[in-house]
Amino acid sequence: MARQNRDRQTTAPGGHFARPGQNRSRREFLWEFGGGLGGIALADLLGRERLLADDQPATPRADLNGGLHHRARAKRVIQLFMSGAASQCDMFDYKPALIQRNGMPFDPGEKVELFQSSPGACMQSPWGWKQYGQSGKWMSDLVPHLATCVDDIAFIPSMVSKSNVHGPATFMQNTGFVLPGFPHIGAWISYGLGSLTENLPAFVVLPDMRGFAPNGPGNWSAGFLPASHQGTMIRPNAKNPIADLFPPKSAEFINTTSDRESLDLLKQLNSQHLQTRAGDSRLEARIAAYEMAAKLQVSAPEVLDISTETPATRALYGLDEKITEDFGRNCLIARRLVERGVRFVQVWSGADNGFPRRNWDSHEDIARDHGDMGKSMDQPAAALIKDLKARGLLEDTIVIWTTEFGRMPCSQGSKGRDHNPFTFTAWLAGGGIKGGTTYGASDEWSYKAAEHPSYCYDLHATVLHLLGIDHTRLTFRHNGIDRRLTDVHGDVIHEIVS
Amino acid sequence: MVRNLVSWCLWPAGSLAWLVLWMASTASAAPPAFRDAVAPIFERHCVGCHQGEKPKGGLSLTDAATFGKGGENGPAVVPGKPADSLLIELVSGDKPAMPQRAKPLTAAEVDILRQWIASGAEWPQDLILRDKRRAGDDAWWSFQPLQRPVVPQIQSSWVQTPIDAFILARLQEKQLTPSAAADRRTLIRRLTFDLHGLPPTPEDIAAFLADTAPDAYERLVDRLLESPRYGERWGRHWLDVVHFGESHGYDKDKPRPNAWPYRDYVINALNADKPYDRFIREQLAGDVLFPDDPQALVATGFIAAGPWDFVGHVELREGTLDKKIARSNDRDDMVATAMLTFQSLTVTCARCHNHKFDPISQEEYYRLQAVFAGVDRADQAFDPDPAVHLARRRWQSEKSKFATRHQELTAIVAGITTPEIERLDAELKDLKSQVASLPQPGGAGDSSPTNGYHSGIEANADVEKWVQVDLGESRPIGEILLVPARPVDFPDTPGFGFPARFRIDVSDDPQFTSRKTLVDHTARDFANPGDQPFVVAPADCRARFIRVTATRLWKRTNDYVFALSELQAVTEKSNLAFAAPVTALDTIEAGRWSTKHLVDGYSSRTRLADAATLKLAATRKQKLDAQIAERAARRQAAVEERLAPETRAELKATTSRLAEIDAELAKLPPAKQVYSGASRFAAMGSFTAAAAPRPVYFLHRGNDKTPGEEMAPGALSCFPGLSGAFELSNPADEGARRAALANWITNPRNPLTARSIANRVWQYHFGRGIVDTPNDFGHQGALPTHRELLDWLAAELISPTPDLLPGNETPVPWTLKRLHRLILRSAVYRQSSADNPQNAAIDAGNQFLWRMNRQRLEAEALRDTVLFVAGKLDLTVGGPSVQQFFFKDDHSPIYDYERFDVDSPAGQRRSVYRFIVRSVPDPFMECLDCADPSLLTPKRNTTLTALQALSLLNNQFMVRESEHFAHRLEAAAKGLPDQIALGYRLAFGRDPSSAEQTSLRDYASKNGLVNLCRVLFNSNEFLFID
Repeated sequence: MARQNRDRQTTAPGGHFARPGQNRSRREFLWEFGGGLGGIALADLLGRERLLADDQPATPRADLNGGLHHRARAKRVIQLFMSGAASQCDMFDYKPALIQRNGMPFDPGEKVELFQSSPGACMQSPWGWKQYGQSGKWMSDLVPHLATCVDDIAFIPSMVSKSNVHGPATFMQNTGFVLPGFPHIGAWISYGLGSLTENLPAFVVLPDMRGFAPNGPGNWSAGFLPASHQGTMIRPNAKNPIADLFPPKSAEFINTTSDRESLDLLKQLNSQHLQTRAGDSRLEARIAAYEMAAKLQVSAPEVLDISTETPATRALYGLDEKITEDFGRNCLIARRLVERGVRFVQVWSGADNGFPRRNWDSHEDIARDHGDMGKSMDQPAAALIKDLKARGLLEDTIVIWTTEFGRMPCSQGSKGRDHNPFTFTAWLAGGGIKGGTTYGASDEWSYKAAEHPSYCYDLHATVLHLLGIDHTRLTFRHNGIDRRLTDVHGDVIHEIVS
Repeated sequence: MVRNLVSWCLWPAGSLAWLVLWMASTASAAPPAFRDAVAPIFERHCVGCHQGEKPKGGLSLTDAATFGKGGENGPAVVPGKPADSLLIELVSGDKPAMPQRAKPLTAAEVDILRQWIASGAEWPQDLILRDKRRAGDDAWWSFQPLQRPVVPQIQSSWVQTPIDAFILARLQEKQLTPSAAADRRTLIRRLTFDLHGLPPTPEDIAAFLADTAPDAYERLVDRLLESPRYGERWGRHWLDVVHFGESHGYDKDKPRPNAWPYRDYVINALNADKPYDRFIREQLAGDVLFPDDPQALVATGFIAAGPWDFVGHVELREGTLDKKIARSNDRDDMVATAMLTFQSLTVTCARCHNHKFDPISQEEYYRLQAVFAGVDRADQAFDPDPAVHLARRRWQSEKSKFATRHQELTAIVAGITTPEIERLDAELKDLKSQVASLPQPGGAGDSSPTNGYHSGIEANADVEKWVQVDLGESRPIGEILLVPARPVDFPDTPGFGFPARFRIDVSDDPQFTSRKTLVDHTARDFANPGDQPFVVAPADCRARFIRVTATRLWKRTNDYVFALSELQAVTEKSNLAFAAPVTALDTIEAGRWSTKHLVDGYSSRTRLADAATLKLAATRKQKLDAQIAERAARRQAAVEERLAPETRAELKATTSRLAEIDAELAKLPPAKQVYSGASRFAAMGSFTAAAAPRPVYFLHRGNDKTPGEEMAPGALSCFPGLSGAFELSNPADEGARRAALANWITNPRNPLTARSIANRVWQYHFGRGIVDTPNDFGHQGALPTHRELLDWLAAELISPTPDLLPGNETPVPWTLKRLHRLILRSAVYRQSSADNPQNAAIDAGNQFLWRMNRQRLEAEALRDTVLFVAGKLDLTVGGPSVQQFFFKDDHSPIYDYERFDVDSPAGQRRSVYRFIVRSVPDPFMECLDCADPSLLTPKRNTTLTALQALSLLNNQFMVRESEHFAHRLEAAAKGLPDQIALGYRLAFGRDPSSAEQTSLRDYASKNGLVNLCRVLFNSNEFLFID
C-alpha cells in the first residue's frame, strides 16, 4: 500500500467505504499532522499507545534500511540548484566538433527556434578541456575542483526540459510539473519518509543570498500536500535565519523566564481544555507541537553556528574567499543539516534573471557571467562531496546537481548563449550512485539529447528508488487525481546505480 | 475457433461442405478495411498503453511508421502470416497475454486481425490512432437526473427539520445515537464564527442568553446572515475554490492591481443573496449575457483568477512552440477552474487521453478548451456606476451610428470626380510617390547587424541618463538627428527606448560644466516619435561634444530604459559623428547593443543613408510638400463645387455631431479597470487579443507538437437528457461560446450543478462535505455519506418548497441564504461536539454526524479574531487590497513581509482584503494552511506543527496584538481579576473559573498582562471552536 492521503483511506477504490469507524480520527491525525518536524516522534507516541489502526500507510521500515517499498540505499538528499540555466557545454559536455567549427555557421540540419534571438555561429567554450580521474571524464577549466571528484559522480548529459522559459522549467525540475501548485521533491520525500530527527525540519531550503530564483518560495511549496511538508527556509545571514524562531527584539516584555513560564501556563490551560474534550487527537498534537518548537529553538542556532568548524574545513569550502564564501557557507550548513538528520536540503546558486546578472542566465557574456557563477559554485560543491565522503556520510547521502535547462552551443550576440531545453547536464553523487559513469549523450554539437533522452521524471524516480521508494506508489489524491511526483512518467536509471 | 470447428464437424456431411465453402469465401473476400475494422480494435484495446514516447514493450500502435518499427520483442506482425505474427500469439489463446489487466479481445476481433495480417497488414500512412477506451459508461450516481427524495418518516423528538430525518435514519442504521444540543453560549460562538469568521462580542452573548423568545436562535441566524461580515467570510471560501490571486505567479510575478473588483463582486453577490445560477452565468459570460450590468463584466474576473505565465505570453514570439504551450496551459486552467468549480468534475484528466475513470473523452476536453479560445486574462475598462455605464454605452452606440453615416458621406465625397479632379489626383499621386522615393534615414538597404545604444535598466522612470559623442575637435554642426531604435530581438516596438523627457546639449568640455542647450523637452513629456528621426537644426552651432540627456526614461515592460539606434551630426558634407568615440553614464554591452553601435551608420533595422544625401532630400521634400498642399486645396474646392448642398450640410452636421459625442464621452468620469476574462485589451509585448477565437486542435497525447483536427466548442455528453453540443449561429463570436457553456451548466437537466454547491455549503458548515471530495463527483471521488440528503438539499435549492421556512414571500430558487437557514436550523447542526465513546467505537471519524465537528480556525478567521479581540480590527468594506508587505518592483518584484509595519492601517483590515501574492505567500498565513492561490482549493488542509506554534508565539503580528489586547484590558477594567475576566470573555466567550483566576493572577502578576494575552492567543480554546 502506498503512502496515500485520507481520501484513499476512508474510501476504497471505487468509492465504497472501507470499514467506517475504524479509528479514523487517529489515522487522520497522523497523516494530517504527522509530516515534517516531529512527525516521527508523534507516530512513535501513538504507536506506543497502540492507537494506530492496522491498515496504516507505508512507513519507513527498519528491515528495508528505512525504505518504504524496498531496501533503501540512501537516507538523505542535498540538491544543488543552478538557477538561470547553467551551460552544459562550458562545464561537462565536451564537444570537439564545437572547437573545430568555432565561428562557423551553426547548422544542426533543422530550424532552430530560440528563446530570445536568432542562432549565431558555433561558439566553443572560453575554457579549455582536460580529462580527469580513472573514468577519464572531460571537464572544463571552469570547474577544476569538481574535476577532481569525477570518479564519484554520475553525469546525465542528455537531460531534456519541457519548457524553454525559466519559470515553468524551474518548477519542472523541482516539482515535475511546469505549472505552479505542485509539491517539491523534498516535500514528497518528507511526506513519504518523515523526519530523521525531531529537532529540525525534514526539508530545508537555503536560497541564494542575493534573492529568490524565478517562482520564489513557490519552488519549495508543499503544493497540495499538508503545509508541514514544505521547505523551511533558512537564511544564515539574516536577522532571523528561520522565520519566527524567536520573538522580535522589539518585544521587550518577553524574556527567557517569561517564555518558560508562558509555555508552562499554556500547557496547563491546554491540558485542562483537553480533559473535557476526549477523543480529539488534534488537541494533543498542539500540546506536543509547542514542546517540539522549544527543541527547535535550541537545535537551529546550533546547526547554523559554523564557528566550531576547523580552519581546514573552512578553507575546503572556500569560506575565506569572497567569491566562494556565500555558496560555500550554504554547502557547509547543508552538510551540518544532513549530519543532524534533515532529510532533504536544497541549496540555490543564483537569484532572479535581472541585471546586472546574479544567476546563470548568461545571454550576454558567457566568459564573464559563467566565469563568476562557476567559480563561486565549483569549489564549494566539490568540498561538499569530499567532506561528506571523509565523514562517511556520502555513502547514504545523495548529492544532486541540476539546473532548469541548458544553453545553446551557438552564440547569442557574439559572447552569450541562449536557452537550450533540448539538452543539458545534471549529475548525482553519493548514496547508491555509481561514480565515474555517464548515462546518455547529446549530439555532436551539445544541441540535442541524442542517446537516452532523460527527463526530471527519470532523475526523480532514481532518487526515490535509492531512498527505498517506488515512485509509482508514492501518491496523494488531489482534486480527483492520485498525484505522483513523476506524473505518469519516469524510469529508474539503473545504469547509474551502483 | 478450434472448438468451433469440432462442433461444426459433428454436423452432417452436407453442412461440412457448406462450412468449407464459407471459409473459402471469407478468405477470398476483400480484407477488412483497416480504418473501419482494425483501427477501432487497436484504439479500444491497445493504444492506451502502446503510444507516446515510451510505449509499453517499446511497441507503439499510433501510426504506420512506429508500428512498422516493432517493439522490444521484434516486429508485431509478419505480413501475410498471421500464424507467425507475435500480435496474434499475444491476443489469442485461453489466457491471452494482451491486453493486460483488461478484457480479452473477442474471437471475432482476433479474426479480423488475422485476416488483416493475412491480407498484408496494410496501414494507411495518414492514419493516426488514438486511445478510445471509454470508462465509466455506467449509471454513476452523480450523473443521474436530480429527483427529490422522500423525507424519511421517523418519530423522534430530536428531529427538528427534514435534514434531521435524513441524518437520524442513517444514524439508526449504523446503531449510532445523535447528541443533544450544545448550550447556547457554544451555539452563538459556533454560529458567529461559521457565518462571520469572527467571535461574538460579550454583549452579543449576553443578549442571546437573555433572549427567551422561542425563535431567538432563528432570529440570531437571520441577523448574522444579513450582516456584511457574512459575505466577507463566505466570499473567502469561494475565492479558495476559484484560486483567486493578485499576482501572475511564475517568474516575473507581477502584481495585478485591478484584480480586487472581482473579490468585491463575490462578497457583494453573497451578501445580496444573488441566485447561484445567475452567479455562475455572470462569472462565465456576464459581459455577454448581461451587457447592461457593469458588475456582470467584473464577474468574469473568475476566468482570470488563476496564475498566468507572463514570460510565455508577453515575451515569447508569436508562432513559437513555447508560445502555443503557454496558451494551451492557460486555457487548461480556465477549463479546470470552470469544471471543477461548477461541476466537481476532473475533466482535465482527459487532456492526454480519454478520462480513465469517468465517461469524458479527450475530444470533449478540447471542445471545452475551444470555449475559452478567444479569451485572455487582462485589464478591462468598466464603469462601476451603472448610470455612467449606461451613458457610455449609449454615447458609444450613437457614435458608431454617426460614424457609419460619416463614413458613407466621406465615401460619396471620395466618389465625386471631374476631369480636373482626376488630373489633380494624378498629380498628387505622382508628387506623393516622389516623396516616398526620397532617401530616408531608415530607408531601403542592407539589414542592420546592430540595434544601437541601450542604457542600464531602472525600476523608476525619473532617473537621469546620458550618452555623448566626441567629434574630435570643435566643429560647426548643421543638424543633429536622433534615430529611434526598433530592435529585432524584442517584441516589435517602434521608438524603443526613446525617452519621454530629454534635452540635447553641446559643449567643448567632456564634463559639460559649461554647455549650450539646443533642445529642451524636460518640462513635459514628448510624444514618442516611433520610426521618425528627431531632428534639430541649430543656427550657428560649433562644438566638440554632443550629449543627449534623458530625464524621464522610456517604459519597457515593467522597467525603464533609454535607447537610441543612431546619432548623426550633419554638416553640408558629412556625418561628423560616424564612428566617433561614444561614452555614456551607463550602458548594456550585450548582443546587438553597444555604445559604438550608436554611430555605426545603421539603425536597428537598416543601413542609413549618408548625411549629405539626407540633407538634399529634406530640402526637396519641403518643396514637394508645398506642392502637395496646393493641389490638395484645389481638389477640395473642386469637390465642394460638385457636392449637393444637402450632402455638404449633412457632412458638416455629422462631423460636428461626432465632435459633440466625443465631448460628452470625455465628460464621463474615467472608467475603472478590472482584471478579468478579456477578448479586447491593450497589447503588451507579444501579448495581443485574438481577433477571432484561436483554433484549438485535438492534441495527441496532449502534445502541442502533434495537433490533430480542429475542435469546435462544446461540453460533455455524459448526462442523460442533456446534450453537450452547442448550437452557435456565429462560431467566430467568442462570447457566445462562453454563454453556451454557462447555459449548459445552469440547464435544469444538468445534475451536478446543484449537487456540487449544496455539498460545498454543507462542507463549510460541518467541516466535511456529504461528498468528502468536493471537486470530484466522478468515479474516483468519495461516495456521498447521505446521498438522499444531498439530493434533497439540491432539489430544495432549485425548486424550494413554500412554507418550509417561516415567511410569507414565495422563496426564490437558487438562493444560498435559504440553504444556510435550512441547515443551521437543524438539530444536527446544533448538536454538542462532545465525545461519546459508544459512538466513537463505531464511527470515530464522525462520518455520520452523531456529534458536531470541532473546527480549528482557518488562517483568516484566526488573524481577524486576534485583531478583533485586541480591539484593532478595521471593518471597512471593500476597495483595493491592502498590501501587508514591503513591495519593490524589479525584474522579479520583491515582496517582503518582514518589513511590513503590522500597526499600519493596512495591517488592521480583514484578511479577505489582503493583497494575495502567488510566488511569495505571506509566511504567517501559509503556516496556518491558508489556501495556495496557485491551486484550486475546495477544502483546506489542517496542520498543527512546531513551526506553526513558533509563528503564533513569535510572529511580530501576534506579539504586537498581544500588547494591544493587554492595553485594551487595562483601559477597560481595573485590577488583574477584572482584566483577566474581561480577557476570557473577549477571547473565549466565557468567564474564567475560580481556579483559572487564581493561577492566571499568579502568572500575570509576575510576567505581566501582555504575556498573559500572548498565552491566551496560543491556547487551544482560542484556536478550536466547539
